[in-house]
Amino acid sequence: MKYNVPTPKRQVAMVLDLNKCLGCHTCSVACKKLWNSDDGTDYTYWNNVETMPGKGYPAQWPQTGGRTATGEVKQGELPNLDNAYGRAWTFNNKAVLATDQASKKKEWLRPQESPTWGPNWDEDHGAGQYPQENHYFYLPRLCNHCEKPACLDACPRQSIYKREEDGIVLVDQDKCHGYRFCVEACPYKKVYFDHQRQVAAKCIFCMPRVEEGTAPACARQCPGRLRFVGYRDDKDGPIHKLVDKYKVALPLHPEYGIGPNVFYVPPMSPPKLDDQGRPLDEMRISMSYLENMFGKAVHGAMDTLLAERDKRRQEQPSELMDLLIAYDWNESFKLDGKTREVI
Amino acid sequence: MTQPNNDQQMDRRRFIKLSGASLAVAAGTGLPMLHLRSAHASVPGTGQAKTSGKLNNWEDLYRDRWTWDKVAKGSHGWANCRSHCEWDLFVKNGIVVREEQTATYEQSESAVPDFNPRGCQKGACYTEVMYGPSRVTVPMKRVGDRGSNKWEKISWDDAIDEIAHKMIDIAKVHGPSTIMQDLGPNFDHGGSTLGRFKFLMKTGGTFSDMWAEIGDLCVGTAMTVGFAHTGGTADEWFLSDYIIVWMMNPAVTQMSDAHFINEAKYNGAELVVIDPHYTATATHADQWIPPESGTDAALGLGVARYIWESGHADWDFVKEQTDFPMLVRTDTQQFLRGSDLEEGGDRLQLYMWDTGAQALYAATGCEGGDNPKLTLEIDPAIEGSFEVTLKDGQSVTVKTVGTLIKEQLDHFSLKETSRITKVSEEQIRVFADGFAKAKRPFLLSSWGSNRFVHADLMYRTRILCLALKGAIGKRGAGFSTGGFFDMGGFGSQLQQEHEGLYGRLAMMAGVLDGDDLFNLVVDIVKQRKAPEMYAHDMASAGEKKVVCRSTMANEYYNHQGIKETLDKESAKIYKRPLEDYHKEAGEKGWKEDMSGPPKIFFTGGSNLIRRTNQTGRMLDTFWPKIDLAVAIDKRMSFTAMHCDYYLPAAGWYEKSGIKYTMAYTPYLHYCDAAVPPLGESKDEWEIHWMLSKRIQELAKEQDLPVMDACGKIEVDWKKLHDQYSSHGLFGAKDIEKVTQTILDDSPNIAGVTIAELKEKGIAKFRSTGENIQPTNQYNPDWDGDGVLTSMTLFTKHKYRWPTYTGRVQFYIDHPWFIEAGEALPVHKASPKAGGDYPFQMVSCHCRWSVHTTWRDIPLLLRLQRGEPVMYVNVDEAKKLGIPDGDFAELYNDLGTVYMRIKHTTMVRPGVAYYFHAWDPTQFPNHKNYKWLTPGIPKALHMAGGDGQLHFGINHFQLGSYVQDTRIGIRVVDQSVVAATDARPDAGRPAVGQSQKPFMLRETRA
Repeated sequence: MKYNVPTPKRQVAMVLDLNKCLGCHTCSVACKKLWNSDDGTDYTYWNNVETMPGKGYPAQWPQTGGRTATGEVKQGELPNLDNAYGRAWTFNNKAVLATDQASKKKEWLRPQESPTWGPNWDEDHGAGQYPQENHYFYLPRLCNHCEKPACLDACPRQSIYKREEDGIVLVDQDKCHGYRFCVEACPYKKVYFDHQRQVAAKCIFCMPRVEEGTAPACARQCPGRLRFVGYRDDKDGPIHKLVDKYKVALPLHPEYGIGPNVFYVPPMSPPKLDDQGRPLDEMRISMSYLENMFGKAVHGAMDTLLAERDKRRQEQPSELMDLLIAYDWNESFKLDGKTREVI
Repeated sequence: MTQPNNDQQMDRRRFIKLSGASLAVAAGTGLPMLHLRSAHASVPGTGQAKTSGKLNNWEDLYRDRWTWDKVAKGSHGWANCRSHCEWDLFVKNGIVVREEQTATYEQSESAVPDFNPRGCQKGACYTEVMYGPSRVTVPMKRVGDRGSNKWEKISWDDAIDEIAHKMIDIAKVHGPSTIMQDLGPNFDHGGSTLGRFKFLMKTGGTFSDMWAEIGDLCVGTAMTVGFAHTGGTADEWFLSDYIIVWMMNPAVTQMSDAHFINEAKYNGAELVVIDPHYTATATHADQWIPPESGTDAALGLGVARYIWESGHADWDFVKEQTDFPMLVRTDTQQFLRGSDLEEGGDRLQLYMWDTGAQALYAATGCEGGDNPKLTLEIDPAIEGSFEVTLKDGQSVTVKTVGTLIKEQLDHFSLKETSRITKVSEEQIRVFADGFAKAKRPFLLSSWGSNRFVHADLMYRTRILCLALKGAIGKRGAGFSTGGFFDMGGFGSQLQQEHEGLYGRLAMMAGVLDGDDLFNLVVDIVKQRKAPEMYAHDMASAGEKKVVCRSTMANEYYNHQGIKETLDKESAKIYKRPLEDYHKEAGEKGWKEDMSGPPKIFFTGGSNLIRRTNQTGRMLDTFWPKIDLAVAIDKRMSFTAMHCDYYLPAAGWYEKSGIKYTMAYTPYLHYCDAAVPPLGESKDEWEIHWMLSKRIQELAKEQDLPVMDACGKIEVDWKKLHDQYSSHGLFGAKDIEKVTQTILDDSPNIAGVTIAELKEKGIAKFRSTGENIQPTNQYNPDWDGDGVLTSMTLFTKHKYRWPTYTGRVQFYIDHPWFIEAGEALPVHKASPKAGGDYPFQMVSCHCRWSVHTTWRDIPLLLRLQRGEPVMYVNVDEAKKLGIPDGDFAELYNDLGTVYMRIKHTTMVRPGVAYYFHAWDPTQFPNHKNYKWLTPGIPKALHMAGGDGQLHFGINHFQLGSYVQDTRIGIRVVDQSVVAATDARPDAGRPAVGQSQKPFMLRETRA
């Protein structure tokens, strides 16, 4: 590491259970309404939901970035606004509302930018031959608030820091000069450029809410109830149990080498069919695809999930299944009360 | 003969209470669509202002963003979605800046997950609609031609005065029942909708139901169990061990409840999703079964046969609760009736075969006879053929319904089922075997499943599978089509003009004639019905007597100039001409028509022209017949664009209301006014208050005579406002008071005050209500605690089902059904509506909007493609040569429209799949796919006469079905589409092609 990043006293983290995601984007909208309605960040989604397999948002991330085996930050590429992110399209609502329905030529309501890409462009596209193998799943993404953030090291002005009290990674909006090295360096492409204020901006893990013991909006507003929030070191909390005890929650692309603090329970899927339409003993989302995404640990995670689910089929108890069911939804979030002293 | 039980007895007090509420509700609530814990301080909205503590740190930039002046409790009360969610509305500087779920629901039981947090991405940004691009907040009058979008601002007083004058002039000539309102979205259970409906009712206007028209009415359920919609709380799904999602996509259409399905999987349940398309729900399935679109009835029959033969059928249930033991004459195909056996015998008395006595047995529980219970004292034959001597000495062979069904099922071997459905035998076997062995199978099927012309057959076969398993009205098993909690107070207030008992009695006197009263007294004395059913039946009778009613599908047939097209389409299904069915139904009083074409049209927030089939005919034939079209809406919809007046309604966070009370959660959801109505807008209670007042003044001035409305009732507009305002009890600004009165009059929620609701947002129901609507739960035991299971009135308490046979009924001996070959559940191929073209055009309720609301919001359009898209399987699209995102030409016998194609792997080849409710203005030429849908009706749904087959709002009625539509898709020169645009593309930056990085700074420091 270029900078000496002290290990935070505590690390706040999130687990997302992909077996419960509905692809509804309530998380994205909740986040956007709360933090990102300004002109300069109009195209950004600190939280987004991707249909996988797919190009994602920004398209074809990461285009490198992250760290080498020796810990050096790799240079990446800046995504293009139109081809990779998709501009915040503007619409001709006014003109449409003024259109005489009797006129021969009419303007219809549409983006004024003739877009070719956007944050959810390949929604429900997926991959595979119908009906044997066609499949997709939803992947909600946010900043991973990494142990060894590449963005932090990439900044020549030391504008990015990891908070000691909760490990949240923040871009100092006063210090940042908008060089965008952090945008390049983040392999998850979760740092964005505010083109109005000319600074970098990213997910703050709803830091003001966490300070008051309230879960981030993307987690608390999720109707699929797939997000768990808490501290890594809380042995009684959901994060420790899912990540460390049962090892069913895994970081996305661990090979990027920067230690995400956002974890995913990998998705099960219905069986493939053979060319006669008979079900096979193989899930639609191949394990090799999942391995590519979550690393080798995904095999063990999947085995555990299936085994614990089998227990419940036999009407036996399973702490893991109970946890993922989230009988009492409030228990999904284990944050401390006010951690911030307000002066 | 079993003796009636004491629990049927009904005292006079209860009788008055029920009858008072019931007949009114038929017209009111019976029109649904008429269509803290703070353990972790997870609840941000405390109602208090929150300011940020300034730390003089840049982080305060963000801390300050999460502050507010005030929090109000709200819900999206008028959205026509089936969810109901509790939200905190955050107000800052007089503006509602954002919303977040309150999430204070409790677990129904420790064994099931709680309901938190409920909500969706649309609810999370209603503020974008509220302050959105099509919001209009001033009254306007059209100054150009209809649809010219040339408007002039007008004062409220002038608008009301002009509309009142025109209404009187038109009513004088055409009668008041030519006032029409299509019952649809923008419906709640509070004062605003009450105002809308009370005005319509007191003027003598026609309630025109559109539930079947839009293909959302579960007609097949009504045929089978006697009511269209029922279903308990959504947490019941969690208790199932075999969840079958069949013709539903809850991950998209019921986001706030979908988690129960995925959590049931973790609880050990098997999740089966049957859908031709790999939907968001299917991605989580254990079994995804993709049948050929429209072959679901065949699959159901194949599965039913498998269950029958599996040794896992519940024959005790089948004997007691279904019509399997009923005897049918093989010569006439009619049920064997009392009137067949002896002179003067009761034609409503049906028979079983007593295997012990080897003799006929007069079935209890059917419409004839005095015993309303299903409890069996004999062992009836499920299968068998018997000789019976009729009253004239003739001997006929009778068979049990069970035998007839068995004969029918014999055609559906796995092989044959596989041939029709294109699902492999092995996959069907795995599914059917799991179904047969399951302890608690639960079927989830939604309103959109009714959009095939033969969707009723699909429902009948699927209920057949459940009945064979005894999986109806049983905790954790059964089906949900979406039931409601009864809001009795809404119905009472709709009709009542006076307070209290006097008001109720006066209302009853207006409806109950001697015959009604006599029948009711006899029923009560003889204890012939379940107490729950008195109210239900009276509601039905009341609706028939005092409400001018029709259905939109019927009025389209009469007035849209589409008879010829529909006759042609109908000929693909039935030999007998459609017109014949209309004629016979009219003559026999099975259907009700408006007295003439609609002359005055109020759109109360629904979007008629957007949703109509054959939109071209709507615009050039139906619409011009209307002399006065008034839009009362919060936004300029496509329909509002074609109106004469636009009256701005207050938006959803701007008025008091109650989200319509579906039973998915056991809570009532209150909508508070977080801010005053925007601009000059007013809530609907006040708008109709003003309008009724002005009409009454003018009627008095002109001494307007009492008018006949649809031959049922007489209306006196000289008293209109007195009636509307309950003789001055409710003032113009009294919407909250009206809403409180509705609560007070609803026994299952009475005692809850608006003041409490403003604090808490929700209140728990204490019972399912009086079960007056045809959409209730029929669970007399539920008292607010625990998971709510529906239909236990029949399965546990053994009361007769409200069907002709008194049972879950699979055999319908109506002459039309026999003639059409649909007496039994059968599979019939989907007719090629619109012509023989290669693609079936299938619509689904949408992820990104609730009908047209939210459809034009940039925030959400940016998370789609900004424009409507037709989903086509990627391989097929490539074969057609249509690149992803290009416009294509969609065509059939009805015309041509342009739409962008989206490639996907989720859609079955041969299907063009779209998520519905795109506005016509979002298409080139402002023409959407609806120009291509004939809206094929099913003539049999006009049948009437016996039992459950009777026309009723929300119950059983003519509809129009879109899912059978066929289209062709072909490449179109993109410049041809661009040429239809008023603003040519030439001047626009070809942004998509730009390779230039967007960064504004060219160099790095």
